[in-house]
Amino acid sequence: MMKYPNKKNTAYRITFCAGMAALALVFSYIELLIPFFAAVPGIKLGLANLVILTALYKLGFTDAVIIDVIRVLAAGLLFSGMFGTLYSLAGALLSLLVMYGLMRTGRFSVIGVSMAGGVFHNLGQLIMAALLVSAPEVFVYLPVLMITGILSGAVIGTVAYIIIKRVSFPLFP
Amino acid sequence: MLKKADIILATIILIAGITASLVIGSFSPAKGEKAFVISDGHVFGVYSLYENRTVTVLSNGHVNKILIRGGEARMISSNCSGKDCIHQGSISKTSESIVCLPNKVIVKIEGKDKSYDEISK
Repeated sequence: MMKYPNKKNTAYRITFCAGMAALALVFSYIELLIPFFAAVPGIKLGLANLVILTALYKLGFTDAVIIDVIRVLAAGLLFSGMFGTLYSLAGALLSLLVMYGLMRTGRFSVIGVSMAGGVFHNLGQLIMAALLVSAPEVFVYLPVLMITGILSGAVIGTVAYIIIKRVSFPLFP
Repeated sequence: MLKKADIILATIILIAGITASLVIGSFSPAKGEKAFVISDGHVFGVYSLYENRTVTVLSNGHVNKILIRGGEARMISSNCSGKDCIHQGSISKTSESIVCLPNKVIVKIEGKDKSYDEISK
């Protein structure tokens, strides 16, 4: 899966992952500035998933996990505190696993993968919230979050499709 | 670019979401356990909904009487102007509340568990 110019080029890989993580972090921040439907906690566009999807398709699963974990930890500690970080981490890892699984089947386009990613990101957060607070009532949000997950996933997936098609990796050989 | 499998996937997720909403909708919001009485921003008292009693809240000349009986709470008298709190009737489920704005009295129903919002914010 490695798509670097040279498999042994560790410095390039570290630098590239760091750059991607920084980009994802910026997207997380931009997303904070958009006052999305605040009625239900957890509704987001998922701009950072643009970076993660591109990483997943272009750099492989391992690097996508590394970038995503760095992004979640940095964004969580900067913007939302410990509980928020745990929610995001659960969502991010679950969604990444599902996206990787769907991508490997080869049956789905980036848009489908992204939709599933959006839905499972929300699901992961809810499971973590239910475990942490030991209140299954949080699943009241599930239906809304599933539908918004599909919508935002489709939007992000369409953009990611264009990026993955147009941008050639490695960017700086 | 959009494949057939994508549409099938979205449909399955949508059906799962709708099913989940129907299942969840059938047993929530949960039956409340306690009534929280908040006066002027402070917790005035917490009362079990299953012990019948009348709670009188006195604060800065404001008088509110709350009746708790048989798992329900109700505002039975208030010296505020609108009397909206009395017209709100009985509450019994979690996340329901009676608010008397002029007298700054809030009655909230809580269940056994901590609520989600408390800890996430």
